[in-house]
Amino acid sequence: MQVSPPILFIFQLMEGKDTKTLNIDVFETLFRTNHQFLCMVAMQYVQDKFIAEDLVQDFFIDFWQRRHIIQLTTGFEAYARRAVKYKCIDFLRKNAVAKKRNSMFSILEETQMPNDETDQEEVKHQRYVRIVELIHKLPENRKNIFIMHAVEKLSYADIAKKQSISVNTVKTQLSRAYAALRNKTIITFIGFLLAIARI
Amino acid sequence: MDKESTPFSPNWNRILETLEADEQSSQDLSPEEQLLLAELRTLRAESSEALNVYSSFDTNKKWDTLKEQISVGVTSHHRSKGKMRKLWIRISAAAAAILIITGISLVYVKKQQNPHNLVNIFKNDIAPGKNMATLTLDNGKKIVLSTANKGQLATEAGIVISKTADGQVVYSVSNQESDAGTRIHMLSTAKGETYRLRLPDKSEVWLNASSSVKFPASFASQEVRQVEVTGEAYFEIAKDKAHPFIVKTNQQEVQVLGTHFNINSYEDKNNTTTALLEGSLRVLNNARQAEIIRPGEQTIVDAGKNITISPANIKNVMAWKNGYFRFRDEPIEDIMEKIIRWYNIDVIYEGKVSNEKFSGNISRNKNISEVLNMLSYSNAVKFKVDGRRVTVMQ
Repeated sequence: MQVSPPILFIFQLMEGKDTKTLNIDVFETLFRTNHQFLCMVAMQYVQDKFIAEDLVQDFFIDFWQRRHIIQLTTGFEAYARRAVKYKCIDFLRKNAVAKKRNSMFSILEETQMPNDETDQEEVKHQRYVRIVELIHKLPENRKNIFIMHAVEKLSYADIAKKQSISVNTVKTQLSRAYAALRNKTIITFIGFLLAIARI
Repeated sequence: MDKESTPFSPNWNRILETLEADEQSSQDLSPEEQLLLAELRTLRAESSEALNVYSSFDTNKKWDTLKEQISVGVTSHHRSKGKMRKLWIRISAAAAAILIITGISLVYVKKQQNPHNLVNIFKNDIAPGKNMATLTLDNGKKIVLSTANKGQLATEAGIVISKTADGQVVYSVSNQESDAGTRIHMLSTAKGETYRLRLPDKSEVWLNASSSVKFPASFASQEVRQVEVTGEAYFEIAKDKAHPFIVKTNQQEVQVLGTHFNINSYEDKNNTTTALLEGSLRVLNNARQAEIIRPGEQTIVDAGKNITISPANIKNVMAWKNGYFRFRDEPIEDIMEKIIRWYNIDVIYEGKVSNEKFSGNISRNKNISEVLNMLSYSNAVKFKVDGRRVTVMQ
């Protein structure tokens, strides 16, 4: 069962121990490692880059201010993902304009909301989060080769030169990268199609 | 490493080369390879977009801002160790109160739906409807059908009624009895029940809650296959050009050949809606007016009025049969009608009823608390559940 922050708080108090508090350097590492990813998580819900960044910033500020109290039983990433998600949902709730989101019901305003667009944006960002996760799970070299190929759009020859490997090795690494992404995103792809068809 | 066994039999090298060159003609690839190529292109494009979004967030800048905001806190931390003790005392005094709140919120956090919503009052929860129905034979004998019993249920006049392992009721004719066609059976559901039945001609019918379907034990000697329906049912009719299938409700008659359609004739609505998914269908009202519709359309039959044809929202129509509620832009009263039938409850409206329109999807297999919590998330309604009575408030 997942435990929400208030309950962690209670357990900590019950033990009566002094916390091993977070120092700012460790906090900085946590921030730098997780910041971009958490912003992408927030984008799934809010779809506005600046609001997403602000909500993630709020999360980190809160986390820092409560560092005496919080002792994580799960890893930081899992905790942060949930906390950012709740912040987003809370934000959307308070926001006057209702949008369709992770919760099931919403109010439609007099003027018809472009639901299809919002749905598609949400789903798109959900896919992006998934893709980024999968890419980061790739072994270092493979990840870099894939990024050079997909983002920087370098040719196989250029990648081979940069990495000091053969073109054949580049192809092998790419085929393994694609295989990893393909296997795991096929399922999300179907989920994507279903979401678009809104079944 | 180059000779690694690849997960696919297609030639990866060829595909990757085509991908690299982004050639227009991929004719020397087999169909599977072309499909794979298309997937890889999509993956590549999406990965690129995803990574671009990812790197568009300026971590450095944000860290600098954050550091400024909290640097005051860092220095005061070293001084505040003494304050920690005071804090501890204050907090432990409140801990008892927090424990109680935690205990209550644990109940709602369990399914991790919406831990912030403690707005509704639930004296008890209500379970969703079940797969259950009553089969009434022509001799008056009633058989309760549920997932519990299996195998043969009844035999009479050469008709064997049995239940398959997956819960479907199947009719089979073991020998030709000429009067089987006159024996009328009825499958009915109460509130909170739903069922699926295979008719003697292999047509299938799904019944929603508070509904019934009357049918003869055998269609064999009949010119038309006729059934009668109350409430809501979805049909998938086996094709038989020689024997049209007719569904009668109290306001209309529907004639089909081979087709998939949904009929909603609940009495609280005073009209009958028939939505067609596949095949073709002809609706005849009591004034003997007729309309033919095509897949994706629906008819509404209202006593004393002409038959109206309109586009059907098939997903909304089919949601119940697929196991969930689906609404688009509906007032709370309509939604509560569906909930009443499925959860078998009474509803009271207290105070002014919200004019808001609701949209959403939720599985039918959840307890009522989850459905009501979702509805109240919109802040337009609140609920109280006590026994089988639900009060709707603003």
